[in-house]
Amino acid sequence: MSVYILHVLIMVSIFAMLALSLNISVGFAGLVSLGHAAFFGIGAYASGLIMIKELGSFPAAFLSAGLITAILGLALALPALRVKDDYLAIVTLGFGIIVGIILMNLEVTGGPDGLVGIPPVTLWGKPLYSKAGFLILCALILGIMIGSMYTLKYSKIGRAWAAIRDNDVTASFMGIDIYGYKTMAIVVSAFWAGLAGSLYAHYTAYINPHTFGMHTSIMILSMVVLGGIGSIPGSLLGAALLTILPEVLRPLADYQDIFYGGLLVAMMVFRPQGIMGRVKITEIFGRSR
Amino acid sequence: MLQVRNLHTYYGHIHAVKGVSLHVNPGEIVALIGGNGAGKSTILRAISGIVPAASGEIVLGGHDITHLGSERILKRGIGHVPEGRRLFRGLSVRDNLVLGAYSRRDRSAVKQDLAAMEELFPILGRRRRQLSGTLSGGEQQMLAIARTLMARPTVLLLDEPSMGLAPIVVSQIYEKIKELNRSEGLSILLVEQNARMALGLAQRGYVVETGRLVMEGTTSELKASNEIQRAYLGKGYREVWE
Amino acid sequence: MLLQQLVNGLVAGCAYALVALGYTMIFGILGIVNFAQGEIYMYGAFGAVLTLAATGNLALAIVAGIAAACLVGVLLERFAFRPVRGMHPLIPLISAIGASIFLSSLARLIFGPEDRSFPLEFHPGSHRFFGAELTELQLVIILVSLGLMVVLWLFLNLSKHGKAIMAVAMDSDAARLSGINVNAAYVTTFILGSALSGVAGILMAIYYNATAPGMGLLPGLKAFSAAILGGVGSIPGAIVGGLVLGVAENLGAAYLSSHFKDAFAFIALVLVLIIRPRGIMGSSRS
Repeated sequence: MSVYILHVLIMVSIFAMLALSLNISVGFAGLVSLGHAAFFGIGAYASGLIMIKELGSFPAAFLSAGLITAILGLALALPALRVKDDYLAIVTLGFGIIVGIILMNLEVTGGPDGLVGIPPVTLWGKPLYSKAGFLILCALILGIMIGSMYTLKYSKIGRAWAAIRDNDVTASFMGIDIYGYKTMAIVVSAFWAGLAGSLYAHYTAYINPHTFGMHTSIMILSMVVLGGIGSIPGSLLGAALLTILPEVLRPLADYQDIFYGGLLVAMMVFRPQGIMGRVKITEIFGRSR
Repeated sequence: MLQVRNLHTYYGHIHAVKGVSLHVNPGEIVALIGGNGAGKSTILRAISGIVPAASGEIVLGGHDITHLGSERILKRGIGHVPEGRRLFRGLSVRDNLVLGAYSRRDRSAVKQDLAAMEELFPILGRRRRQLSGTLSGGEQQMLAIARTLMARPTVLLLDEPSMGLAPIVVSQIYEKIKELNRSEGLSILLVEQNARMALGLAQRGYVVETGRLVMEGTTSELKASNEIQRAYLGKGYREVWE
Repeated sequence: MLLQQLVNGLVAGCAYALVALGYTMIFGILGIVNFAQGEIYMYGAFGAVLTLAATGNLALAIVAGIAAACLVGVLLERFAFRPVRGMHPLIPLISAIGASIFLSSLARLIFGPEDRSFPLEFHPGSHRFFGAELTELQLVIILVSLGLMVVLWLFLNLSKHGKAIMAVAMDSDAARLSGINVNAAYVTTFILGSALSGVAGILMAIYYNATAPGMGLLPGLKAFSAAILGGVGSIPGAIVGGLVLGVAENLGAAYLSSHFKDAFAFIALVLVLIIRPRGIMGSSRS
């Protein structure tokens, strides 16, 4: 298989992880986040720095990235969930921008030039240079993630999230600790995004703050929306489409964002439930103000 | 004359109004009674254009107004005082009245009507500059009625004017309504859960239950009917409860 | 020095306030966040810059800029917001985000990404007072902005149509029953908000002598923070929020850290939403 195709598939799987992780907070629990790329970036920088400073092996860096991001997700969730639903999106947007500015200006993160020379993934002492091998690693992790998401979705936690998504006031009357479950959704979502960030950092060996800004956050959200909010196969489809499409449209690079913006508007006007979303979702989302 | 023929409306998948037909003759007061959620308000909202009619016809003076927008229906002469008053709470009493006349172009006549409203409901003149959201319930209801009257309607749709008000306040308001009907010849379609008061004021009535018309007749016929007495006028409650 | 920062902050704050008014009006009446407000600002600037380059007539350029901004606003309302009215707020929000991306990349394609200067012939003088310098341009910006704010306030509170717009914001069904054309009110609101943002864009294009397709992004987001800071849906709040943000940002950059200047707006936003979500002047009802 050509190196190029392997590269695209790797990017698809990383973004699939990002889309799926965002779907946990948006699709499962109904919490809109416009700053998801910040978690992606935190995981990437954390893992990259750990391995650059030789503080641990890849597995340790990988898991630490997830945990550190999860902790920061908790730090965001605690104050952010106190605001009204409509404002949560804006708070997450602000969070994303603040993280971006911090990454841009800290010495240790290399400022606008970012981190260079991130070591590749090393498993059992041996560095993994082959793209095919890396793709297999990504696929494995993605598989584990998909499995855990299905488990979550149909578990008691998933049902609690669904109740909260439909109407959190009613859910609280039913005795569900909405605050706790919402926090859990954000933390789990952040954890997986951090893991995706780690993979990304060690794949590209070089990261800078621009990759983790609002544009990426919106792209991840679009993948979720395009595929269908709350739909796991939908997020995979959305990630695949929106990762492959820019590659296919590369000759038309100038028109990419125009197309992309127009696609978002068109999706919302004509099919807000996404490609694989159930129509029921629009009815739920069809509450008028 | 206002005619509604075989009206059907839906809220999403819910069939709210199921083939209702009624009419209001010029100068009449007609009561529309029934329990909570029976669809009475929905019928009014379909007439005034807030809710679309899925099928059926609404005709005013021979003209089909079924699918007209609310602004045009108001211009044709149907004024709707909505359930819950729905005042512009952040605006003053005077501003609410002025907005009631929004669609009119005859400036000096509007000024006269403002004065007339303040005469009809003196409290409105006294509280002219007050924020309408700070008025008492009864005052708000009077303002809501006055606001709609500012458009000089020929047919008035009154949705539950007694809701949440003390009986003595309701009597005052009903007195004014009676006066308007008598002096202006204003036709009135009155929706009420308080059947006793509505039947006391109106000449004819319709009874609506779960979206369907179940009874109609003059108020004396209705008042005499056993079913109405049991369901809405409290007869026989002793037998049931003791 | 402090006074100088205040002056500079006031100028930036006026621009933020004008755009914040756009956000607040649209949010107050339609209940949606117009994420593309920054793009309207940008198209206003471009309309003016290009017209000035073509005709050399400043007055015409300003009118053209405002017209361009209003046109974009009307198109946005018609195609990105009206079709999704009444749906869960996430849907118009994403639609607005998409529109914002569409509009800015369209501008990048048509106009090219480079900065354009604003070819003005006159050289403004300046005045010194208490050690601070106030250029005539700064004075013009402040006066024009305040003037527009006063005109808007007068329109909304004293004219029949202005009150009708406020009525639609309070209760659109009751407004309909009073014979107010609610659609027309929505479009008018968009036009007003766009005109203000367009003027802000033109003023800033002159002030910084730079017009570029990406110029609306950051000011748009900051103005949005200002609108929330001042109190969502509150017209005076938008003005206060904008001015406060402009001043705070400049003071912060001067006395705390200039690197993080852009972050102050968002830190303020997050803090306000957490500590006092209704903002400085918002009422306690939602």
